Parts: sequence; C-alpha cells; structure tokens
Amino acid sequence: MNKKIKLLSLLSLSFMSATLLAGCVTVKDPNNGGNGGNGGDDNTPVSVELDPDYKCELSLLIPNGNANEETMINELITEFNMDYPNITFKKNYISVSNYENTVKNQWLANSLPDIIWSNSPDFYTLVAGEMCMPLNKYIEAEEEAGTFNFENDFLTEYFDMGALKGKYYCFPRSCDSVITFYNKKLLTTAGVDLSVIKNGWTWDTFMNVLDTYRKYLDTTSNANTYYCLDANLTTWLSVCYPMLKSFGGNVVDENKNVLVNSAETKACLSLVKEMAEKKYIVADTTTPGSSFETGTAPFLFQSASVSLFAERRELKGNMDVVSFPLIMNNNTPKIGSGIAGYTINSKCKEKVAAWKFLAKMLSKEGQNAMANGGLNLPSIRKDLQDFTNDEVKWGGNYRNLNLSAYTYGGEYKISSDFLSVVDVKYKAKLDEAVRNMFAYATRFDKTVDDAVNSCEKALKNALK
Amino acid sequence: MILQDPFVYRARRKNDIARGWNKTKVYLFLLIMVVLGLILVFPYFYMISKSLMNETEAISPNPPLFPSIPQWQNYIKLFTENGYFRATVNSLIVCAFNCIVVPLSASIIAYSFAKLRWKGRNIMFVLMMFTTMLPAVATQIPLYVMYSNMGWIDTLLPLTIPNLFGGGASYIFLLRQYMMGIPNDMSDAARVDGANPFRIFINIILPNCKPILLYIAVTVFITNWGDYYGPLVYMTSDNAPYTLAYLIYKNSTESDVAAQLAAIRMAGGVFMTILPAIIFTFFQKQLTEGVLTSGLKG
Amino acid sequence: MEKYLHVRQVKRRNKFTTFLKSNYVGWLFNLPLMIGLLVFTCIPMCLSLYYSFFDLSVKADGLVGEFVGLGQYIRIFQDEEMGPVVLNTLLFAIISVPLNLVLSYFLALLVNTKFKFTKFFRVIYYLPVIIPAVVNGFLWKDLTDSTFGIFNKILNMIGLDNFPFFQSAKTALFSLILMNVWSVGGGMVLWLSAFKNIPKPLYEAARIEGANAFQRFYKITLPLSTPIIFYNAVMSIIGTLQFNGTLTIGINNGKGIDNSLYLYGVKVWFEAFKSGDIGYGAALSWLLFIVIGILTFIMFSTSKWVYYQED
Repeated sequence: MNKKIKLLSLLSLSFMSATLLAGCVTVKDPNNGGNGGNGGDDNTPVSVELDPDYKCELSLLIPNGNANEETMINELITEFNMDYPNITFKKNYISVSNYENTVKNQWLANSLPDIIWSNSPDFYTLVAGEMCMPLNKYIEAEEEAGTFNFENDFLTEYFDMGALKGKYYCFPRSCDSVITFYNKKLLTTAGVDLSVIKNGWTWDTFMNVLDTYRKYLDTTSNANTYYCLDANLTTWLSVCYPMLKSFGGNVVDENKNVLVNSAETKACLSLVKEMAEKKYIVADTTTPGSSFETGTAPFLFQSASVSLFAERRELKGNMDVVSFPLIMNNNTPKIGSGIAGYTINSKCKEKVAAWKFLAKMLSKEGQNAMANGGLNLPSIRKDLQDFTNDEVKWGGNYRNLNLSAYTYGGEYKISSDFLSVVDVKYKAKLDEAVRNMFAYATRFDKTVDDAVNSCEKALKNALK
Repeated sequence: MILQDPFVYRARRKNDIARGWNKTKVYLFLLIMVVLGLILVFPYFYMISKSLMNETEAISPNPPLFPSIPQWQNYIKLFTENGYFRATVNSLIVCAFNCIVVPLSASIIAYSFAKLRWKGRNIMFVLMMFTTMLPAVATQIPLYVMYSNMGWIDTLLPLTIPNLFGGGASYIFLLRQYMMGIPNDMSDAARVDGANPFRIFINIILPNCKPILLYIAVTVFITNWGDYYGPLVYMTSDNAPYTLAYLIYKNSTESDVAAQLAAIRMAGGVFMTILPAIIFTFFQKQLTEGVLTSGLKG
Repeated sequence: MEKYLHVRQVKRRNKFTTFLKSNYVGWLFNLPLMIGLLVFTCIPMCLSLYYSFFDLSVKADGLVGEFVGLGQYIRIFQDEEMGPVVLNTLLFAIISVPLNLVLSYFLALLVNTKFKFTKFFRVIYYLPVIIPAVVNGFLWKDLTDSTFGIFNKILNMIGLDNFPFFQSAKTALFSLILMNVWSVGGGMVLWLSAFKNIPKPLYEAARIEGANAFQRFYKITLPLSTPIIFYNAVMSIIGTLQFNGTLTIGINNGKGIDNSLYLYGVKVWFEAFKSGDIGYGAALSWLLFIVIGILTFIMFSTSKWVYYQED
C-alpha cells in the first residue's frame, strides 16, 4: 500500500512537472507586464499612411450564421480592395451565444483575428481583456491627414456606445437603436388612430393605444391567447434598462453598492406590472399566443433592420416603424441603444491595414457598399441621413417607411452601460438579475417588492 | 413476469408464442410493448411532423400536431445551401475513424485491466477514472490552447486523434467490466496450450466481446454524428472542415432568421437520424445471437 | 565502497528487469492509455487545478491573476446560490439515477424475448436516443409548453388540466427527470449487450434442475449482469452530478424558473463560461471532482456484490 502511494505521488509529480514544462497557459503576475495590449496608449504618434500596393492578409471575425452581416462585409471588402488590391481577407466565424468564451480561447491561443465583430455589451469583454486597442490616435491622425472630421462627419453619440473612459474601441457600422415596429393593419382593425403614432410619442400615448387594442382583442375569440406587445419587453436589457433609467433608477455603482432598491425602481416595475395586469404584455410564466412576425401582435421593440420583417407574408405592406415611446414620468426619457461594429485586435500585426479597413467602413463609399450588401440600418455619417435621396443607399427598398425612427432623439440614447461599471466578470450576473427583476414584476405570484428584493439579493451575492 | 430465456425459443423456433404462455398473457405483453412504444416514439414522431409544417405553423407559439399540408420542399430547402455534401463526407470520416479506433484501442486497454496481472494496474485504473470526474468545462481552455499551438484548429484532428487512446475512460471501464464477466477457463485452457496473452486477446477475448464492441461502435457513431459542440469550438474559419451536425446548427439555429427556420431545423434533425437508425437496425440484429456458447465446456 | 556501489547498481538493474519481465505485458497493453492520459488529459487537468488557486482574468499577456490559496474554495461555501444548487443536484441524482437504471433494465428484459415484433420495438424504443442535440431542446420546448404544448393538448384531450412542466418552479425538476426517461433506450441496448455475456448452458442446466423463470432470472441473469449494473451505476452517478443538459431548455440561462433547474454542472458552466471567472469555475470543478472521487471510492470498495469471473 505504501509503495502504491509512493508511485501515485511520483506519477502525479511527473505529470505536474510535464505540465509546467509544456506551459501552454501560464499565470502571470498582474503587476509586471500589461503594456502589450494598449498599442495606442503611449504618446508615440501613429502613421495612417499605407502604400496602395501594400500586401498582407487580414483575418476578420464575423458572427456565425448571419448572412446579412456576411454579404455586407463582402461588399465592403470589394470596395476596400479597389484602394488596396493586395490585401487579402480570411473570414472566421464566432457563435454569438458563445462569444465571451470563444474570444477568450482564441486570445489565449493567439489566434484571435485582426478585426473583430462585436456588439454591446460583449465588447466590454474585449476591453477588459485588453484584447482590442483604443483608436483615438488613429482618429486624430486621420483627421490630420484630412480624411474626415470626427465631430462634423459622424453621429458621435453612436461612437460613444463603443467607448469606455474616453477611449474609442469599437466603431459602429451603423446606428443601432431600439425602435417600435407596429402592424398598421391590426391597429386599424382595432380602431386605433394611427396619427398619434409618430416619432417622439410618449409612453402615455402608447398605453392608450394598447388599451384601445386590448379592448378590441377582448371582443375576439383570441382574448386569452393574444397580447398587445411581442414578448421581449422583459427579456431584453436594451428595453429594461432604459425604462429603469427613465424613471431615474439605477443598478449598481463602481464601489459595488447595489442601488436597485429605490422608489424609482419600484415606480418603473409598477408600470410593468400594470401592463401585465391589464394583459398588454404576457406574464413571464405563460406563453404568448401571438408574436409580431406572425402578424398576431401589433407591437414589437427591436433594433434589427426592417428588412428582417418587412418581406414576411403576414407583414408585407402592413408594417411601419416609429421611435421608442418616451417615458416622461421623471422628465428623463431614455431610448435603448447599443453598438454593433468592429474593433481591432491589440496584438494585430497589421494595425495600419486593419485601421484602413475600419476607416473604409466609416467612409461614404464604404457605408454605401455595405448598404448595397443588405445593411438597411441608418448610416453613422451625417451626410448620409436623408434616406429618400438616391445617393444614400441604406434605405434600400424601404424608403417609404419611417426609417428616421432609428436616429430620432440622439440625446436620449443610452446603452447598457451599467455592465461596465464593475468588473467584467459580474456582467452575466448583472444582466441576469435585472432581466429577472422585470420578469418577476410581470408575474402574478410576485409583488413589485418581491422582484426588487430578489434582484437585490442576487446582486449582493454576485458582487460579494 | 417476462424473462429472457433463449432456450425456450430454440426448441420452438418457428413459434411466436413462448412455451407455457396463454393467449391473454401474450396479448397483455404486446399491449405493454405497444403502449411503451407509442410513448417513447412520440418526440420522434413530432419531429417528423414539425419538419413538414409550413413556416406559419412551425413558428406559431401554438403549433398544431400535424401539418395541414405536408411541406416536402422543406427537405429540399435544407440542401439548397452549399456545403452539405462536403459536411456529410467530413462527418462520415470522423465517425468511421472513431468507430474503428475507439472499440479497438479501448479493448486493448481494458484487456490489461481485466485479464492481466501487473504491478501498477490499480494505479493506472484510478488515474483513468479520475479523468471522468472533472467536468469537461474545466479543461476546455487549456485544451483549446494546446490544440491551437499544435495547429489543430480548423482541422478534423481534435475530433479524431484523441480517440486513438481509448476514446475516454467510460468505454474502457465498460469493456473492463464486460471482460471480467467472461469466464477464465477458456483463456486458461489456451494458456495451457501455450498461447501468449496477445493470442488469447485476439482469439478468445475479442470474439467474446463482439456485442459490447458493437454497442460501443454504435454509441460512438451516434455521439460523433450528432456532436455540434466540438466543431463549434474547434472550427473557426470559413474553410474549416465543417461536420453535418455543425452545419445544420449553424444554418438553422445561429442564423439571423433562425426563428423562421423552425421547420427546416427539424428536417435537418430527421435527416440526421436516418443513418444512425439504419446502423442501429443492423446492430440490434446482432444482439439476437449470443456468442458465449462454449463458456462452461471450456 | 566502489564494489558496494557496483553491487547495488546490479541489484537495482536486476530488480528493474525482473519488474519489467513480470509486468511488461500489462504495461504494453496499457500503453495507449498512458500516452492518451499524458498528452490529452493530464496537462489540461493539472492546469485547471493550478487555476483554482488564483483569481484569474484575461489580460493582454494572457491569464493574469493573483494567488488566493484556497480562497476560491472558501468562496464556494459562502456563495448563497450553492444551497439550492446542491439540493437540486442531489434531488435530481437520487431520483434520476435509480429510475433510469430500473426502467432501462425492465425495458431490456421486455425486448430480450423472441417475439416477431421485438426487433421492431427495439428500434422504436431507441429512436429518442438518436434525435440530434441540435433539435432536441427546441423539440422539448414545443412538447412541454405550459399553455400550448403538445403534451398539454393530449392532457386536455383526456380531460386533464394543463401541467406547467418547465414553466413552474414546482414541476421543473420533475419535468427534467421525465425528459431524461425518454432516453432509456440507450441503457436498454447496453443491458441487451450485457445479457449476451451470460453463458447459455447455465440456463440449460438450470432448466434441467427445474428452476422456473423467476428463479432463472434471480439466480443467473441478475448476478451475471452485475458487472454492467455496477458500471452503469458508477457512470450514471458521475454523469448526473456533472449534468448541464438544462442549457438546451434555455429558460434563464439554463437555470430554470426561480433557479429550479440550477444544477451543479450548470453552475460550473455559468461561472467558467458566462461570467468568465476562470479560477472560481476551476475550483467548483475540483470540488465536484473530490465529491465524485469519494463517491466512486465508496462504490468500488463496497462492490462485493458484483460477480466477476476472475478467480
């Protein structure tokens, strides 16, 4: 027996030493090192000049299964290759549901691509891991070279969503904001006056419309299975958080204090509860029998391109969009927004080439090329806002719709920035706790206080 | 009580009804089988039904049990995407390789645990069992980094090469248990006749393990055939050798119009079960014939 | 002195060669396992053990973090989520493991008869096992929906009320156990293979001695399938404690409503992959490793009931 123990410990020792020798992942002291990731952080100016004949290969990370993103990126590559014909591209795919884990794996294995697709809140992972680099230097250099003027040319509030502590990390490829999709046919049948549904409408107006529609629903045979709003009010942070902020509520501060237990939060949740009780929205424990895309619910909050819905049989010709209803209770209305765009790997060996690709994405030709590839979201350029103009491509076949809903109310836009207040490892738990709080508020077996208390408890446990 | 007793049937091979069973008993028996069958096959049946629904029916929160008009074109739509042929070939390569390699290597290792006496056997067995006790989540990052350093990303190697070494402790453990149930008198007799351990392994142990080796081969096939998570982690670029399960996952679940592809996804699911079902049908025929006929006579 | 050393060396070499001589066959057959263990398992396993003593995050230089000793392990015991997680996992394991063992054994006995249709029924019973994971989650969502699920439609047809399945904290774990029952076909096939390892002449002899069907089952079939029963018990306990299949159901990150499906395996996955708290995830994994190790040790040391042909 003694011998066995000896042999066992010998074996494990040898495995341990083999491991350390192999040393493929080593733990390093956080105090030394740490300069590798901030390519643009030092004061050395960067050059953004690139020989048109420059030859290299850039790798691109794009979301898996997103045909729309892929065709627009292909168009952009074609456009880019007119200037730099010798730069080739290799496309890698990332599973969006596994984003966090995948980028970490690839980063540790030094195989993370040069240009990385990201969105909020996923890009906080990249920033916290020093995987992407600040682009301020490049913006300045490009301004000096006269390619663009950042403040004058772009809708900078959308760039702010991809920035942290004054540094721009992620560039938006388009303006992403939550808007209201609505079904004109359903609402007209219910006797709703469509003229009140216009950009800048308020939540009170919205509730009145819901009330009219609900009264109509109650006269139909679907009274108990159909609802007024598609199910994503309580499941999507880009709706929940702006609602909370509109009321003046908050979640957490940088000292890990939980701020969720407040009168403001309760006021917000009471509104949600009222909507569930009046059967405008569905309670979390039941399944809605209606959805916007099947033409059985009149409203949907979404940030996606209209092209995803407008061609559907049930919606064709019956659909329009309008800005997110403003919650005026606290006179601080908010509209959920975020970023979907591209960053540059901080270990990228071809930084200038990668930058040139991003600069092309921001340029007029780049934006129009992506629009031709199926990007039907507003351009981030100020000079490409008038979608009725033929020169502006992003309106596509949907120029008859109220596409300005996306960019309405720039001053109200807010991203789920509370996720970046504390360490990135709390992100998933904060996200879950806030969504659960809203879901609880809709449930008939929970009170508003229950919802707040369980959220507070979950947050405190997570931040311990 | 329904009990297995092959010899009852050997005597009355052509007769369906077991000896000593009256008709009521037989009908009761059949009734149990049919009811259980109906219950167990239901999800599979519903998968087929859903694969034939039109888009409105399939994405409705209140889906019907049957499609109003079967939409056979769902299956055609599934294959209009490019790359399915190549993905099927890749899947077949992975499955064929593992189906041969896993039972073979696992049986070699299991033989050393079950029938050979050597110092260090228990320690190696304990070490092997250790590997099953840690959740796979814990080792994923180091493993990914290792494969990446070895240049195995975007190849089929992470899905095949590690299986050269027994294909995991669970198969080795299973084979060890099975081999320990094989009577020793046969191998003892062979040893007296001068056969070396290798000959005993080939001539006596392996033939007797046929049912369990086939079971392992079938299980390995089905696991690898349906695995989309491995490729999801290890296949990243656009020219990686995708497997069928991953391609269906990618096109119908991760897609930006995934919700609308509910029926196509089910069609993919049905298509993926065809080959495993055929393989299983052939395999279970093997199970009707026992192999240990000479056990006690030695 | 020199002479003495020489003698010792010879002695040692002799010892080594005798060791090799008497053991090389075993090690030779075991060689593939050793290589596999060394290359593909030990390095990642040891690294994750190493990680569990650090508070790690991903930075520019790779994994960076400070040494916290047993801090991550202590954290587990202070984590308020752990109570329900452990309770759920135990409840799931205690019900699910024996239930599936017994049901699949019963099913195997049922289809081990030689009726004309048994071959057909084997395939039918096995079909749920081959439904690919890609669609399984979606399929069960449709089947078990609390309002419009197919199962509820059937319940309504026979005059029963709706059952909430995964959409109520009270019934979610039960539904999970129920869902797992559908894969008994896999266990059934394993038993069928195991029955083939029982020498037929034993039955013949028993019949001659006048044993009835029940006695033959109790005295022959059951004891001779104990090695596989043992295998199945050990592996299903290991598998159940690590189970994270609720991820495909998708409610609340796989934790189920009110955390009713929050199992240990899901917790490990959530901490390591979703939160990216690599050190904590590793510590959770290694704690589970220890628990499973102890359970397995107990099972092996009380395995006198397993009937081996050896000796």
